[in-house]
Amino acid sequence: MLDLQEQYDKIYRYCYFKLYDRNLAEDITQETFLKYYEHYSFNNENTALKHLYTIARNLCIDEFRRTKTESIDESTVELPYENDVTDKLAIKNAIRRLNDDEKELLLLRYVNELNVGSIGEMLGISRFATMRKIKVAVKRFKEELRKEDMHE
Amino acid sequence: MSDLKKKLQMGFDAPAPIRKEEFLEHLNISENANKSNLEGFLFSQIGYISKSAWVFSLLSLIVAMLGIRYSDQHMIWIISGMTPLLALSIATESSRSERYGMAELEATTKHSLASVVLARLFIISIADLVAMLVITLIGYKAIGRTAVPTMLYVITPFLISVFLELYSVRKLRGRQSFYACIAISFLVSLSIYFIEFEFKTLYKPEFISAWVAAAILALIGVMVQGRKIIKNTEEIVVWNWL
Repeated sequence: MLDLQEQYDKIYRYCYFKLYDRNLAEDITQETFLKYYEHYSFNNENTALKHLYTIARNLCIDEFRRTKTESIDESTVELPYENDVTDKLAIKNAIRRLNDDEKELLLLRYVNELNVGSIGEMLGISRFATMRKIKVAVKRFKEELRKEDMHE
Repeated sequence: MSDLKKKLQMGFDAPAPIRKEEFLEHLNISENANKSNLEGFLFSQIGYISKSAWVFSLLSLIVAMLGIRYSDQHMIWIISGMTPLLALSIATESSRSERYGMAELEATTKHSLASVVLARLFIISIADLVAMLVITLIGYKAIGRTAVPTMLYVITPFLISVFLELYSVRKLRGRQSFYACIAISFLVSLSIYFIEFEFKTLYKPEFISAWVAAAILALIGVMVQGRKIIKNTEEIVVWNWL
């Protein structure tokens, strides 16, 4: 059975780091759940997660198209927790320098803890390709951390 | 937790959502309403299963019963060969929406096409299993065999047919799959009659392990094909959102 409290936070976080807008991210999170329950009355957890992320991703893409902004310039976005400790700021800076695909993969795999198979299905790529892309993203993240003078 | 994971979780730290509790409370009410409607949904689907599927299942059952009543004691193959015809109702029902070009339309309704197909297959499978159980219970005494082999002889051709028919439903389009299902049922049925008529070895006790193996393989095949069909119908829904 899907833990709605947990999945709400995860989908919201996923949308937030695509849109960098708190209210918009929450609107899209709620729309994602409503669209999901409109079409599925009962389902298993893995299928549900795959569909939830697919809907959320498509809604975020629609939002990009609507505002005619392909990629938001994050340097102009005010991140709410910028006044945290230096390490946190360094990590955020390192993440900021990654490209959108790398950020998406790292968030899905290590923060939202989605399995490799589900990520691959959602992005329409094979399991092997997903693993390879995650490995590249991790390597890039570590390189960026080193530039920030942080050891991995 | 690995250091990398900790750092990433620290980096991807979003501000807390504001309207979460209120929204989830509303969502839970809707979800509970859906759950209480599950039984009603299953019963409502009984009415939508085509009458020909019921009639065909009933006819197969009657013919099998007549076979038990009037055939020779050792003629288990008559009953065994009838069960592939029961499988036809499952295969034809699983492809009905697709056959009439209604799959995408049905996928946009309140209950997804996957849940509708799943519910109907569940109902027909239960009905067919009850029919086979009746055949076994009446048959094993009349034919003079023990219950387990009789059950195997009844259920294995049925499972093989369901497997082949679900495969053809997945691979072929429109009415082609319907005709393929009819051909498969008759082919499996006639193969059993032919092998038994020609060689008279199929129902000998030394072949029981082969029957067990065939039943297990066919059951795995049915589950794999069933899963793929449901997955395909779910993908129609996802495709509609793209």
